[in-house]
Amino acid sequence: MARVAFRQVSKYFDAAIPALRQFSLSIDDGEFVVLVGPSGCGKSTALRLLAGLETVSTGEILIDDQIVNDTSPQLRNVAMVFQNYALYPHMTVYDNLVFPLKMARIAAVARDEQVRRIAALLDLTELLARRPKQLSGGQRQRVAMGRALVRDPSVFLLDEPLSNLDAKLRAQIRADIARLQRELGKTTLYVTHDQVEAMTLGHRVAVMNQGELQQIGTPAALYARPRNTFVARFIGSPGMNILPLQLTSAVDGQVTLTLGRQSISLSAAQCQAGHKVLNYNGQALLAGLRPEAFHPAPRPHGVGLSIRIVAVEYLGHESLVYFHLPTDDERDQEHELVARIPGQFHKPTDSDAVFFIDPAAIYLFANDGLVITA
Amino acid sequence: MSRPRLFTTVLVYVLLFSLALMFIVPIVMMLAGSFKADARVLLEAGSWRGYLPADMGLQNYRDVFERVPFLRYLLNSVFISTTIVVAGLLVNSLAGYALARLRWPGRDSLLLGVIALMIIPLEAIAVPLFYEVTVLGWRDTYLVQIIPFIANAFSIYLFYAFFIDLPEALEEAARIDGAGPWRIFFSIVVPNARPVFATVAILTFLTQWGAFLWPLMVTHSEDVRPLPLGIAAFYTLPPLQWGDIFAFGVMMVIPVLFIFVFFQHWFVKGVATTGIKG
Repeated sequence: MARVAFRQVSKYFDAAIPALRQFSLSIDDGEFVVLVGPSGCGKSTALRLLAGLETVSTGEILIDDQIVNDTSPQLRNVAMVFQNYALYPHMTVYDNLVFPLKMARIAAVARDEQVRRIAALLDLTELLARRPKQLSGGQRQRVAMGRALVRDPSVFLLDEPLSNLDAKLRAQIRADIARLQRELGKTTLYVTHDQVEAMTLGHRVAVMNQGELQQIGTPAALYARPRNTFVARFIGSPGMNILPLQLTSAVDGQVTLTLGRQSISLSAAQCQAGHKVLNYNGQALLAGLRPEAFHPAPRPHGVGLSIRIVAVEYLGHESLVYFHLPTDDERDQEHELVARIPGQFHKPTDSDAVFFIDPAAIYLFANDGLVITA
Repeated sequence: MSRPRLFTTVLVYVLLFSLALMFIVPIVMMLAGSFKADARVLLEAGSWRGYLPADMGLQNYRDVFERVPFLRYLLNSVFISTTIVVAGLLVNSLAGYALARLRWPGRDSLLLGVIALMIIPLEAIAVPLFYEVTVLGWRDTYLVQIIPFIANAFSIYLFYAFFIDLPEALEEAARIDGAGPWRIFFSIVVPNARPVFATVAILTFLTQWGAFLWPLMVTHSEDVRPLPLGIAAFYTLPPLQWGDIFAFGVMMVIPVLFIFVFFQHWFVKGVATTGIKG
């Protein structure tokens, strides 16, 4: 069991561009934290720094309050599952599993017992005599997890462990990982570019971009209160729609939000940004609308927006409707929005329609991308 | 198969067959000649009979053992070549691994140096090297035939090229699993690099088995001289008996043939992987 902390950690592979910049993150004992972001955002670098495969340029990494910057990987008692599994191809499953125990100089009887226990836990007992190339992707994945867990590490690291699997298997193993983590209670850091994995697995999720931590919080917090447009777009499937908006406020605390040609009036108190919104009178801002915020039928507090449908993707339980807001400005045509409509959506493409939104569901972002909150 | 396709196929096979013939003819002649009386070898050299075995006696083989200490030469050759191969595999693989994986100042220039060294033939440095071993007092020993050939730029480069392509995640996994650098090299890297080890072993062995110039320069006693110098002895011992020379040649080729057939599987794989990816 262990607590992990990154304190102001930076990593430069190249003097000009940091792979990781002033990264700070604390992981509690037994907590499951997911690092998520697009490729090249520094998430794998953070993981490799914690594993000891790379050295930090500045800052400190702590495991159980001990600075481990200069501690070699084997002394950190961390275990890692690699993206391509990195199973030793010339060894059997048994030998792969026993290797870390041999390195730790565990006695032969004890290590045999430990290997068999882990093999049983991960349903690998039948496969112990096989070599990695005789295994399916999912089986290799389980062996990789077994090898990481076998010597009872204090920190468990996973680097995109599901990215080489097909969608069905991915969902199944995702559930297995969540169950294992719950049962074993290991402090876990999990790296992925897939926000679905992040949302479903993490107790907390850290969203990263361009080497910087954007926001950390519970999946629900990230979804409900994104700190900036990057997080808003990244979390959710599809992510939040972001579009230009003109804000005008009246003296009586009423504000008018202009989206394209259409205006919505509401009181500042109703706004997500609260009365702070009054400071932005007359400014061009960014509006954020979740695809779930659009409704095809009128509803209480709903305000109608005229839209033009561009495309409809029918997915069975829901439809994704791509659309534009009519606008006088040609440039705004680029802002294609998407709505998630339950069930089948019957309007044809290139037709006009009305979607209803609750004005309180509109997120407001300043031009630097930061959210405006009360 | 259409007519033009058939024509091309036949043409290709005729070409391939002719090429194969070019390489096999001298070997057949050697083999046939090794069983013939010396006088007959020269007499039939220009005709097709030269490629047919006749007499079928083993007299030439007996002569070889009588006229020169063949077993001594063979033992010397085996000892020198195998020692160079074994020591060379260790030294050159470690050097290639260091170049491929470790970071240290001056590594890139050293790699460049290794590549540059590949183009310098032994003949170019034979004389200075000769002076060096003379000063060291190594002449006419096994040592002088072994030490200069253990480290080899071409072998280092072959290993380097192979290791650069080996997925680094394996070694990283071993590091996290608690293995030190030596353990990683011998337990993880070497077992996954068998093709390149076989390739380097065969290439080194072939080169050393046929080494002639250097042993000629630095040895004079039969106690340490290898096979190629033994065969040369026949040219200086009159009368010039071609049958004996061919018999010697056959016996010299057999071990090489055996090793090649034995390692062929790995060898081909090694050349393919290092050749294409490296």
